[in-house]
Amino acid sequence: MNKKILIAGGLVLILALLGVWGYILIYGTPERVEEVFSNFNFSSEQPAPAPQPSTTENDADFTTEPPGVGTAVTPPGDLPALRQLTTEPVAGFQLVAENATNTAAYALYAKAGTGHIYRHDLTSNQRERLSNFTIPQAHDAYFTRDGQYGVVISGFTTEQRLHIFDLEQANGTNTDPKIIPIDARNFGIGEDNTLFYTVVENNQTRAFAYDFTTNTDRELFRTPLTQITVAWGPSADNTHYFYPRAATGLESPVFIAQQGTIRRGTINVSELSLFTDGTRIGYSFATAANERLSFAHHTNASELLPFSTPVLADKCYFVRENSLLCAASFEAISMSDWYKGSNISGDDLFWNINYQRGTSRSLANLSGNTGRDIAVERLLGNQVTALFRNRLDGNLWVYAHNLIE
Amino acid sequence: MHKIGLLLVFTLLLVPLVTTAQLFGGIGVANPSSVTLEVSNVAPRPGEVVTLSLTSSQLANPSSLVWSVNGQVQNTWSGRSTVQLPVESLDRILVEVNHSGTLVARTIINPIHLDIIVEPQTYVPPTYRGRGLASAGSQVRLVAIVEERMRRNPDSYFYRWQVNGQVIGGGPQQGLSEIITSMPNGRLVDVRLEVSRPGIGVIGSETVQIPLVSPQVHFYPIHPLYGFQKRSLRGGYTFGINSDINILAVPYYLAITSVGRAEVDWSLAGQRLTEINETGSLSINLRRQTDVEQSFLQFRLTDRFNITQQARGELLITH
Repeated sequence: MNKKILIAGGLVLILALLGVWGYILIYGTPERVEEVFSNFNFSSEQPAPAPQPSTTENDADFTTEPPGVGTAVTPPGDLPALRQLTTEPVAGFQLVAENATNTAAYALYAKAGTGHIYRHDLTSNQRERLSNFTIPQAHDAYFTRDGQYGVVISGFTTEQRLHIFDLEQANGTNTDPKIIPIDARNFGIGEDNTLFYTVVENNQTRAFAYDFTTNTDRELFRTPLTQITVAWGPSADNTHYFYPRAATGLESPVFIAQQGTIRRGTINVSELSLFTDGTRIGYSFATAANERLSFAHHTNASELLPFSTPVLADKCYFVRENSLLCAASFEAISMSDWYKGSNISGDDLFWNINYQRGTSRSLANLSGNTGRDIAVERLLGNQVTALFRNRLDGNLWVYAHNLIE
Repeated sequence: MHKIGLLLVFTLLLVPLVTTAQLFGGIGVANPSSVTLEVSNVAPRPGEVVTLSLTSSQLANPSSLVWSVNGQVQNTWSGRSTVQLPVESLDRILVEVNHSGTLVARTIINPIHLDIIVEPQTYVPPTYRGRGLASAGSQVRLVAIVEERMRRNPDSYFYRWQVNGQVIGGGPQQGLSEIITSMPNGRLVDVRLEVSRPGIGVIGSETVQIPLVSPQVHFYPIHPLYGFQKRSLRGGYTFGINSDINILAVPYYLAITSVGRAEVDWSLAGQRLTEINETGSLSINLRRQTDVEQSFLQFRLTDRFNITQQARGELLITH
């Protein structure tokens, strides 16, 4: 009798357990699939990106910690103000926006080594490939400010090739490359759909503007100097500045080229770096005591306005009247070391410098905000967005700020 | 006749930069020859400040001195015997000094821009955005750029170049606006240039010092797709997950002619990695070694025809 009671009790227990298991099986499943994987940290709090067109790649979002300094702003879509756009080196890039305060901008860039051209929407953070035409040894690229034309430069040995694209045509029309000498340099983009460059011939330098729309070259000026840097004006007909390339212990007088005539400017300093936006110039140099100084100078005035933070002018652009955005570290660096790549600190900060008031304001500590070593090169942008390349790995970055007043 | 012409030009070149006031006999100064107006530089460059000093033992009341520049009376200078004149442009400047209503001195200042541009003919890679520096034994191209108020053909001037005190070509030579000269041993090379015009004499002079440096070698990793990277391996190279690496050695500041005819020698831990390579291969593929922790990669580039022209460097490799 006792044996039967035990068997019956065991059966009841088994049935009860089966009931519990059945209930859990039917009603105990997590409501969302993501909850299953969340234990393994496979999901993020961000919603999944929207489906992309077939030509779009969405692996470009390598976000960083949000900035907490200065006037950095959060762009639409909760994207961090400072973020990396590519994981591969870029040959060149351009910010395309309707006006200087328009945040709805996009970046055009070409990948180094392949020359593939991409359009990265800075609002939606979507990337679209505009050209899959492979250009081996692509090492430099420029785009017009309206985004219509692009040029990818390749070649390291005997000659350079300019691969020119009309990006408003389907898949970017690519004509036969334009062959230019290996020593062609000082490339720049004009607002009038032109590509500026120089070549050295017969112990003189000749400066040209190549017109994308007519495929023709126009000579802008020539000089008996063969080792020059050119700070191009906004368009071919504007004033351009050139000077003997920077060197430690050798002075670089500035020459002003306008409508084919050349005159000597008043600047004559060592380790010079100079840039212009057409109405003003900014420049930096080293004194005999190896102190770096920087000044701005309106072209219609004689007053020199000093920067309160020493910078390499290569790493600045004019943001608006009387102010500019610069990247600089606290560590003093010689220009020759920077050019050789032998002493790159990787701890740049963004500075908003007002040379009229004599003030500087730190906007962001790039390394501190990202945990990455960042050395800014080829900085460009407008009043709300800056693009730059990290010298240390060649990757493209964007920094959303607000310097509108 | 030609020699007489050259002698005349040479004589004109010796005109001192300090001028004496030109006095006019009919103006009526008691003893004009005793009034002297000295100018610190009669061929200044725009932006420079020129000092003018009037000395005289005959002018009884210096407070009556009145200065004028291009006909404009300078009230703040009245009664002063020394004044400072900022030069703002290339326009000719006429300075006159009156005493009690009588012109006692005047001088003409002709500003000029005269630059000596130094272009070392030493190697730097095409991606280097700066100018090379000169090293002993290399050549330097020197270019004179002259700019006056009146535009003139550079070939119309006479140029007298001096390098470390030695006159190039024996004296002033017409149209010699650029020269190429070899750099001696030392740390600095002095260059002086005087520019003159026929019938006028010396219109300007300039000096520069050229620093001489030793050639350097910097090492860069080469990426198969992107080429050589822009950051040098300054602190050495440590093998990570990759078992091999291509390294490029870039010589800086060695004479271009030497780089083009160089022997290249690579060695690791004292062991030669390649036979001396006369084709000048500046890159090498390095494989990770497991039997050593650290070793030095050494690179030497030597001019085959001039062994004093050499660049060498070494890089710490951690395996």
